[in-house]
Amino acid sequence: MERLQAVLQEKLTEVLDETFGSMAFLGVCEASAADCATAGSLREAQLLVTEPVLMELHLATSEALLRQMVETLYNFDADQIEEHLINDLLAEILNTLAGRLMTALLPEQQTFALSLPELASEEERLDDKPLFEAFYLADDEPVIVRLQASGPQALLNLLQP
Amino acid sequence: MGKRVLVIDDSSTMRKIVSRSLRQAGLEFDEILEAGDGQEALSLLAKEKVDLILSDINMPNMDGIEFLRQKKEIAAIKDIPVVMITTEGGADIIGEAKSLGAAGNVKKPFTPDMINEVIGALI
Repeated sequence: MERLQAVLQEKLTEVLDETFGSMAFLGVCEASAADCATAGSLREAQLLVTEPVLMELHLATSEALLRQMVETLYNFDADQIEEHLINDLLAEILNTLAGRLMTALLPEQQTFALSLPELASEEERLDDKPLFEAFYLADDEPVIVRLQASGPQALLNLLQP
Repeated sequence: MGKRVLVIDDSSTMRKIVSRSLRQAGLEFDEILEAGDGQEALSLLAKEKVDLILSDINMPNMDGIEFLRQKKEIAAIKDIPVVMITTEGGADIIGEAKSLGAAGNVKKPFTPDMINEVIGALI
């Protein structure tokens, strides 16, 4: 499983940076769980990869970062930002991230399918320890990605050589 | 009437990003119309004329593939070029979209240059 962890870390860092860069002109850097411990509230979303292996991808980031990204994207002042824009942005980041991650992980001709992203809460998070968990900072705000897979060996077998 | 483009995506964020990228790519559209899914797009296309459609694939209600399938059967709109904007991987879903008439595809996240490369040739 060490190879799986290493590949996931490498590919996730690459696609997360690409996703935040293209959507909000922000870079991300790897961080620790302690770096990401914050008093501010986190917003969370999750989606399922339904093919070729069943996986759940979970993204958590700070409300402050999402507000900043909405301000950049919509050219809005802080008081113009509506709740649904923050939630929609979080879902779209996760959707884009999941697509890019699967494309980066799987061989070129391997197809995959994603569910629509859903907002999540800490209470809804799986009790099981995630297969993979990674911590990042974007503009000093936490970005946490968790991945749970029903069959890690199946995922490992599918990885690009 | 100037050129008009229709952006179909269930995410208002992605519709905004597409609109911004079109402007940054220097593609001149006089109006950018928006729809939240394929069904809403078909209703809008019954009333409005557009020169180009950019559509997501993975959407609730009516997804991008079903939209292409139904659009193909409507004489008044069947020839409007459609570019798919997608996170979906693999040749099969893109192949299916192309077999239903999609003129091209752009993968998220995209840059204005990527948009220009695909769309510039269609307008």
